[in-house]
Amino acid sequence: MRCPRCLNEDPTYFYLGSKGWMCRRCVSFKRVLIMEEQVQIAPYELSVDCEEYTLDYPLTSLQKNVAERCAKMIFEQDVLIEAICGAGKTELVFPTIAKMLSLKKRVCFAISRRQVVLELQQRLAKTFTKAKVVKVCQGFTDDLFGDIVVCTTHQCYRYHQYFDCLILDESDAFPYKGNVVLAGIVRTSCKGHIVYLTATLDDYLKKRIKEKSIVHLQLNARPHGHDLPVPKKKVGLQFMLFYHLLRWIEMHREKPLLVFVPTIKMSQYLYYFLRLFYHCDHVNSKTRDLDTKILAFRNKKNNLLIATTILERGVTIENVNVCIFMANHPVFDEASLVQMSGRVGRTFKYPHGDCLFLCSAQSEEVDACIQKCQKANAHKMFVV
Amino acid sequence: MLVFKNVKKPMPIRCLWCNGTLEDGHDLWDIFTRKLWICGKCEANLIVQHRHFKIDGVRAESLYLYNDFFRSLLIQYKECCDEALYPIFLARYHRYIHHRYHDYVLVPMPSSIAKKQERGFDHLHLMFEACGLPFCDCLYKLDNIQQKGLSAKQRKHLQLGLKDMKIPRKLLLVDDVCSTKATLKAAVQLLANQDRCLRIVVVAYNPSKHKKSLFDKGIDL
Repeated sequence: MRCPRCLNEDPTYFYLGSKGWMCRRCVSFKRVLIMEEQVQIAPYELSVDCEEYTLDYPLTSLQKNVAERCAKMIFEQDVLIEAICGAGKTELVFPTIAKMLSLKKRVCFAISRRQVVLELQQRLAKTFTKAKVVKVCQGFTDDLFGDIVVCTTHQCYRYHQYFDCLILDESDAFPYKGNVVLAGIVRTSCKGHIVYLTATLDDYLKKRIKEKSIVHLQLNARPHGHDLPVPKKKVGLQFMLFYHLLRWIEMHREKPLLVFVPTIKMSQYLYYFLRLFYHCDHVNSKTRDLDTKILAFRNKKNNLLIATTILERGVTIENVNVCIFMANHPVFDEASLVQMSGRVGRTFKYPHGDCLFLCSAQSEEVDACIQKCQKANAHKMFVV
Repeated sequence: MLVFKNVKKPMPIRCLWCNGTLEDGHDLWDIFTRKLWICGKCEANLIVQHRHFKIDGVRAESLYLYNDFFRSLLIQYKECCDEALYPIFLARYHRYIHHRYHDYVLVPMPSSIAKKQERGFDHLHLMFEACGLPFCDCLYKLDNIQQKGLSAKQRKHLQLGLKDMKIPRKLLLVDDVCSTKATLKAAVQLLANQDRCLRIVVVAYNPSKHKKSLFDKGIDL
């Protein structure tokens, strides 16, 4: 037996209910009966000239090369674009989206996080001016169909076998990472091929590269051509970390500073401590006015922000410097460290910046992240 | 072609909620003396809170606290149609209800026909069937009534209807959650006219809404 939605084959998850066999692994997305035929969604008619798009800046030759290869290979098999943070991953798939739309194919942009969905929808709507770009996530589920659907990975259950091309951004991010149910739902929502966009590879993607069942494109250069800032590491006793942190803040006081901490509690305690000396704020997953606080930080009303991993992805702040407090904490893995350090030097105007890892003990994840940045700077060329 | 036996599988090898090891978090006493449906870690979130109160003068009792865990459990059971969860709710209370209300007949609060058809099962019947008491489905939900233009008070009375059937003398009204009490009140009012002995059992008690409505009326819990 196999679940038509999450592709589960584990017999312990199947249950014989009043209406027949059902899969309990994905039942939180509403019951699916194994023998029941899935309802076919009526096709949405694409708008005229929806494939036209305009970019704020032209793609570099490296970006162009990767983008063209992706647009070509997507018709044959799944594509993985492994690109460093700030390399313009989203822009790399614009030619693919445009090509799909010109062939009247349905395209989806699936992302793990709701916050990123909201930002990306606006960005895509500005780029594909003639296309109807719909966002589908918590709070926005009335309009489900458009030329381009931008949704969270959770919402893909609404589109069984609907999309011809699905772009899965940040497949290494929570909650998609390691979630077999979401992986199954995303897979079954697309009848064509999937483009994976990521900065760090998980075991599944590594396995597929090894099996050669996926086209692997790599881009280790940012559009401005400058090196990726390599994080500095400082290891010491915990009270010394506070000293290093205060020194680091003093050194970069003129610039926006982002301090990442591993837990919500730590973000609150550090906030209580730092507000004695500086005008600062803190955000975590429980913050209600998250958008307002981020906007205040962006607009430089507040120069120091303490954040949990909620801001590790999808946020670009000009000229920001980053410090990761307790970088050796088990909450931070290599992928999240790469993402957090990748917030630095993303814009053309400010391609440099400082990133500091403060650790209370040596950590393999921290070393792996630093090595990855060094390696990326050494090999900027893409490999297929 | 696959042929399946039309028999419900005996439950369970794994925790019905988290699919973890069933014995996790349970002590040996539990493992040998109780039939387990969820692991001890999940069960710890299901907070037993026996409360007694009155609804329109009828004695009522609730068994659990309506917390986030209970809410998720109920949503998955009722809205996502996860029928397998039914034994979790009253596993501890089957015997209690059977002995305490042994001469009563269960009257479940009705769901709309459309919902029942969609689910394919009656959620309250499944929950309470292991109590071994007879059921009397004498109430029905008025789905098709035009509620437009009616006041909130009028709507309350219009929610339920009484079927034309023989109604036993002692009735135990059962529902899953007590929050606004609107449905239970409507049922009590309908059945009070029939001069019946009534009692109420609700599985969970929603303190925020329920407490507020009682406090509003000056009733102290």
